[in-house]
Amino acid sequence: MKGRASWWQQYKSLIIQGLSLISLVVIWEGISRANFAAVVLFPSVGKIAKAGVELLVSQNFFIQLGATVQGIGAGFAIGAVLGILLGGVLGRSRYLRQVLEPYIDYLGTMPKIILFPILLWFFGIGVNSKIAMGTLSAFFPIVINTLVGFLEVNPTLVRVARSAQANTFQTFTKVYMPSILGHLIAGSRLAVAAATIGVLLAETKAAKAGLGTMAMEFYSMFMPESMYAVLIVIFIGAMLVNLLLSIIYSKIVKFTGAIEGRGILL
Amino acid sequence: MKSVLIGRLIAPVAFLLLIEAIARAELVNPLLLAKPSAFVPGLWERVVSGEFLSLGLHTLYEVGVAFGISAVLGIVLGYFMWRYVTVGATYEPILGAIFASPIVLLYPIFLAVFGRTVASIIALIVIIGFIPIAINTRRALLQVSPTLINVGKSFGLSEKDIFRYIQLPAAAPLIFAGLRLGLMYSMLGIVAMEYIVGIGGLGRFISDAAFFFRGVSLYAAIMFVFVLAALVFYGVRGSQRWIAGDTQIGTV
Repeated sequence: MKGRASWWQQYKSLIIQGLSLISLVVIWEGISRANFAAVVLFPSVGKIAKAGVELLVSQNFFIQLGATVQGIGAGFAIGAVLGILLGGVLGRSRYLRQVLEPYIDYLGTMPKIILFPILLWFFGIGVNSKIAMGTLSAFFPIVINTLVGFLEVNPTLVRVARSAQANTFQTFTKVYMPSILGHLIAGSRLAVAAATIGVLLAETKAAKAGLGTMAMEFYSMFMPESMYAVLIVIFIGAMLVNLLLSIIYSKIVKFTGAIEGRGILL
Repeated sequence: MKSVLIGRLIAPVAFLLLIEAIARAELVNPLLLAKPSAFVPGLWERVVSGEFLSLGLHTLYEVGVAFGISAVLGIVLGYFMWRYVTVGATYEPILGAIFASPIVLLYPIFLAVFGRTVASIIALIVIIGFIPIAINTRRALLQVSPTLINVGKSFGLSEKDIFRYIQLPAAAPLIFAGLRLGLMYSMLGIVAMEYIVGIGGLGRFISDAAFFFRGVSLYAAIMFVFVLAALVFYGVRGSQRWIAGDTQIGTV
């Protein structure tokens, strides 16, 4: 008896979490079967699953996925380079940092998507405006975290390096890098998440291809089960990417002994 | 310090002057880049005429409704997650995971269920807004020092009085921090979704201005959103410092 009780204690939360998920699916199915509301809005679980399978084996899905990944990847890469550059400049110049930091913090929390109409005007509906949106989203987490990394470098270590007559390169790789790296990786994780949201939202607003566009097409063609399937795939995909990045992140932190970073989202 | 302040004042002016120079030199298509000398007065005119104020009030009204629901839901759920340990241990990680996932991308579902109405936006943003409030309410109550509660017990206070006079005041700053986060996310989310869906106040105006190629209106409206959001953020932050001091930041 005792063994069973402790087993229950140990897995209680996990079991309730699983049961909650199952009951959510059951409630959904119940609403779908009860047929009381506009039933089309709540397609049965079976229908959604079938649409999901059809989606995942279709060639079109991978074309759209490619378009989305391209936007996120290119946006992140450009945003990271620009962010590291500005973060480094601000990290070295006390005056610029004091002047610009409140603006960067503030702009970092603003919803970048409202700048998308301007990006659309400049880059047109297509890949480029999407990449620009990804860049804008990825930029701020990178700047902020690079800067935090620079500021947390122990000044004593810098002085030690100087008195040991380390040159600039050595000081950078041995003193600054280990401190900044952890923050940079944490920032990158957030930047990928932000770019994912930015690019997919942009796609639902105006784009020629991508998973977000695909979901909105199903919405306007009134194919709710396919729309749900795309959204669920996007959602699970985004969560898996996040999980993967956090595993890579903890591995790198362990490997390099980098200091753990602080994440700032949005 | 004085030079920093001057720099902070000059920075946005310098930014606008840079855009003005780019627009004047016609480095980019003049149709795409409105001149600050046109849209800053344009912003002022639209504020004075009441156009932007009524749009802003419309947006703030949606923010208020979303935040109000989030606050009640968040505090009640946060209380239950603290009161019943198993419930808290079970659902806090779920809420955290939901909050970290891109919930906004699910908006077509809300459009399908609620139609293209303001209600769909509010329902979506409540999900984003209540989570930081619930999590911070639970943590706020959990972190109350047991010593304080023991003091209350040794004075023979009832459980209800301990909650009312010890736990609640001790938890208040962190609960307030959660509310501030909830308000921030509600504000950002509402404006973003207004633009994406093209309904409501300022966000819808931005969407329309871009669609009809009204440059001055578009740039003026975006600038107005930035100023309005800054006023809300710094107003709330200021009042939080005033009420609770500078110690509790709140986490999610």
